[in-house]
Amino acid sequence: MDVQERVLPKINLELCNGCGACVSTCPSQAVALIDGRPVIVHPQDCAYCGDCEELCPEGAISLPYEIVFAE
Amino acid sequence: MTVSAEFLRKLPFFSALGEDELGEIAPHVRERTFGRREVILLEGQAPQAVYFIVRGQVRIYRLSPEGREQVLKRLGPGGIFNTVPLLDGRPNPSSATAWTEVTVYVIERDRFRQMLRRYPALAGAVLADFAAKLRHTTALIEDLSLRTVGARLAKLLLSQAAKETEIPRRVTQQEMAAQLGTVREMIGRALAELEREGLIRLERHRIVIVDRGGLEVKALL
Repeated sequence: MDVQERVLPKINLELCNGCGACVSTCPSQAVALIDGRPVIVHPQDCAYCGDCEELCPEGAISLPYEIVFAE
Repeated sequence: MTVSAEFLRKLPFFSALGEDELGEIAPHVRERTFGRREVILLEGQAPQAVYFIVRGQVRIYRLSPEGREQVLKRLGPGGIFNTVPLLDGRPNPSSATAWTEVTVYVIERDRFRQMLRRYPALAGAVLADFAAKLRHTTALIEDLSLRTVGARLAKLLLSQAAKETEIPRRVTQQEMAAQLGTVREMIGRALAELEREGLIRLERHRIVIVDRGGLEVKALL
């Protein structure tokens, strides 16, 4: 797995209210609540689909994109 | 299953109602639960009830003639849906699906209309919700009619890619939407459109500009 593949959604724990919406929506079950906080427990399964970002009621999850010209 | 006045009060639409009024309404409210991805109601059906979201997220969408889902709105706890057909008596204008497991309070159409006449605080809350929806729709119409999102997005992508920094700055679709004065859903659609046109390629966490000249033309439209 190279660096590019390891980029994961960013979770802002200060905004997170621990509701678990990201856990229930993640189609690949890559995220779980541990001690009431979301953790990407299976990073290799995260498809970077954006469901968690769209669903998070607190806006605590973001999927940033790098914008580049083709080489 | 009916609900108690105490639970009803927690919903914004009912919070302005008094103890006695909530006590009168509560026996007419049913609680229902839908599993993830389960259809709650379908576009074109006769309206049966109004729904108040207690828990979970609901996706409101329409199907295009080609069968493609066009998401109109995502609603969370405290949201209300299916009010329009209840008031004008015409078929449901859109479909609703549970995006997560969802719990809703349901009030049947005739009962809800009676409540609106009887409880001005409830009618006021529904009108305020209509006003918010009208604002959202107006903004959406502006975006769609001016057809500028694709062009403005093209310009934004070009300027981001041209920034020569040691560590590439990453932007979320939400940030792009905020910069362009639109909603995230529009960005998703516009990006997909640019990809279909062969101007960009969407990768896992990268947007690759594959046709710089084409994107520059697009940015001028």
